[in-house]
Amino acid sequence: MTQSQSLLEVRNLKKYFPIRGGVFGRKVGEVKAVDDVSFSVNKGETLGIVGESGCGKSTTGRAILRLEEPTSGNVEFEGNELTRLKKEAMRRMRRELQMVFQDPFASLNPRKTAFEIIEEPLKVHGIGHASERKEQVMELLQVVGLDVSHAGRYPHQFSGGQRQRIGIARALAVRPKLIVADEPVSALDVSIQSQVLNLLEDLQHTFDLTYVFIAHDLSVVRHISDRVGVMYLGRMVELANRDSLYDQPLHPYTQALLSAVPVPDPDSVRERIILSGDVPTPSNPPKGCAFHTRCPHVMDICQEVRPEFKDYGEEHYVACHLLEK
Amino acid sequence: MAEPLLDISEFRMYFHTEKGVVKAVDGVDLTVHEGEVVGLVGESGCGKSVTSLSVMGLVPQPPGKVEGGSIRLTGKDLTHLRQREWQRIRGNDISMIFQEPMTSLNPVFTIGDQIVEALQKHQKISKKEAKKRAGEALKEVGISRKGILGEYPHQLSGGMRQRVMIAMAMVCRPKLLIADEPTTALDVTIQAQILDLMRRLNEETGTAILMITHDLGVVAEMCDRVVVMYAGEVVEKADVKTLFQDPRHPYTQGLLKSIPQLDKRFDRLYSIPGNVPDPRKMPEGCRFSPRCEFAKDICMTQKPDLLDLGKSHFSRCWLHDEKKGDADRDPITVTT
Ligand SMILES: Nc1ncnc2c1ncn2[C@@H]1O[C@H](COP(=O)(O)OP(=O)(O)OP(=O)(O)O)[C@@H](O)[C@H]1O
Ligand SMILES: Nc1ncnc2c1ncn2[C@@H]1O[C@H](COP(=O)(O)OP(=O)(O)OP(=O)(O)O)[C@@H](O)[C@H]1O
Ligand code: SF4
Ligand SMILES: [Mg+2]
Ligand SMILES: [Mg+2]
Repeated sequence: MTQSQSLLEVRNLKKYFPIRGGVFGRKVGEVKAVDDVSFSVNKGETLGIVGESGCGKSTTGRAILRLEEPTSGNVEFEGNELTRLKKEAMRRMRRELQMVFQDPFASLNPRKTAFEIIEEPLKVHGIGHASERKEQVMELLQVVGLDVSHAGRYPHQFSGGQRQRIGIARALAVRPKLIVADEPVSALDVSIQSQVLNLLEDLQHTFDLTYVFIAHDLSVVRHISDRVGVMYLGRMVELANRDSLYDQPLHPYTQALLSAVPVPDPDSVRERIILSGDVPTPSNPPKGCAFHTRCPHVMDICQEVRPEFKDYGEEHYVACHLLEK
Repeated sequence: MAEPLLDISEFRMYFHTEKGVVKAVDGVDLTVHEGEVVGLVGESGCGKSVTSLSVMGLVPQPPGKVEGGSIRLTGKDLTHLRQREWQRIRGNDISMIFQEPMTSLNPVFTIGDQIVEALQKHQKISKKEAKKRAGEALKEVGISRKGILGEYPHQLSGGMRQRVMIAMAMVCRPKLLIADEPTTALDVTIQAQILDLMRRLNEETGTAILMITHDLGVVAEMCDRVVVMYAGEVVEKADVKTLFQDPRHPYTQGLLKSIPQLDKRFDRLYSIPGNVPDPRKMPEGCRFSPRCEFAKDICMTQKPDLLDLGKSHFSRCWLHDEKKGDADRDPITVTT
């Protein structure tokens, strides 16, 4: 492993949510939202995380920042074990790790102006005096391409793309090293989406940022990422550098997922792998390989033994019994 | 060519609200022929849903008001039909499926009851016969599990609900199926199942489809022809190959260049500057002019017509007009 360059190291991360039932609200089961996931993020890179709805992408992102307490596992950031930090120490640590959310409307306080929203993290972390903060906020507005004369406007007075810029400016305010962006362009129209993607790339270069970029759109993830991890039902099934993953996917799920994406080219002839059935529920995931109920290559062993997530050369990680042979 | 199945011509639907007039659909020309799959694309708020709801007679009036044009189904104008006449057309001649199937399935009735009701509304058949047909309809969309007729919508996954919707929409063998973002709420592997199903139904039953989507990938895979809308107007239409290989309207060109593609690499994405206009304050002249890199003086003041470029390719842009526009600057170069 490239231990020396990695900024973030996630090992055996689990997040189980209790399912409560009955009159006494006793625990009657659990949702294995994230079920033993390991990966690292190198300094200055963008790690993309893709997968279908409910596979645990957001929970993984939130557990890294401890917005969701991990059930078990380790999250090491620049050598600090985040899961062991006390509340106050974690709060201070959040200066280094920020999050950008999918729904720019829901994540911005409707009663605060753009100025107040962006200034807030600076206040929380006690950065600068009022006048210095003002200067910084104005600079941030410019950096993300917003009109400084609009600083006094409220979120509803901005368009979706502009609101996402406010969310990005807020995350940038404390000069973090790592930004976890959870579906930052999913709610945006195509023509606005490319504006925000370009902005994220520019900011990465300017401020030497590292991104964990979560999305379900495989084309967007290919565009922005250096390495990509694919999740299915709480597990990471494949992780590799971008081009190997997209050009030579090894896991049957990744292969099906990529083949299912409609491409905007009427002449493209691609073989489509149509998976039958629905994604099983994470409260009762299939035994063995979680994908075995839909996998076109399923073997006996897949139904019994969970395949190990292993490096099959050049840091191309896969969890599948087909490759073990 | 034969008379089109659906012929929308110069159609306008405005909303009169307290804050002003929203010209949601402001001059839409669109035809669908028998057995054809036509895509209607454009960004959020450009008027795709209002167009399709108008075809179904489902736009509340007021606040909506038809301000001109016509919608013809096999020659008959639908814009002034009475409610009773609509009942005969909806479900029978035209059916519609929506993005979120939960909004159109009734949560308190079983799947079976809902399909039986849809059938009996239009056809004089016994309950027993209707039930049998309901079961067959569900099998056609790939749901064959036992007891499905007795299940309630909330017991099904999103993909299955959409299948049920399609079964219900297809049960009376409509001539036209309007699908408004039928897969937008679904995961990509489930989307592939649903698109596959729709394509098969189109081929096997000959039902024409008006496919509304903002996903140009879906358009490329499903459609024979494409209509592109921007801010309430049709800006370009062409057969699917022409649209992707030789887009002529600057908006269509920009849109195609802005999407990241799975199998093509760009270091930097193109982006159309600015934002979609506020529907209450539409720009003068060409509605795309404030964002268009080719805009000239005339674009800001006069509205261009939808010009015939030959071979059923139309585009609403001054650059194509040799007299008024400046034909040399026709942005024909395709960059994707
Ligand atoms: N607070 C919670 N309590 C119980 N279950 C939860 C909670 N948060 C998430 N889950 C469940 O955990 C699983 C993973 O959810 P998560 O939001 O991480 O998925 P996701 O990959 O981000 O999906 P999407 O693409 O829809 O955003 C889902 O089954 C979800 O219902
Ligand atoms: N009942 C209504 N009253 C007032 N305005 C309306 C009404 N219905 C729609 N509109 C407006 O008409 C315009 C077109 O809306 P429409 O729903 O057709 O957009 P769309 O292209 O389907 O967008 P999306 O991709 O978001 O579904 C929008 O500006 C919308 O706000
Ligand atoms: S482990 Fe088996 S079931 Fe799972 S993806 Fe590989 S072949 Fe398919
Ligand atoms: Mg999520
Ligand atoms: Mg719509």
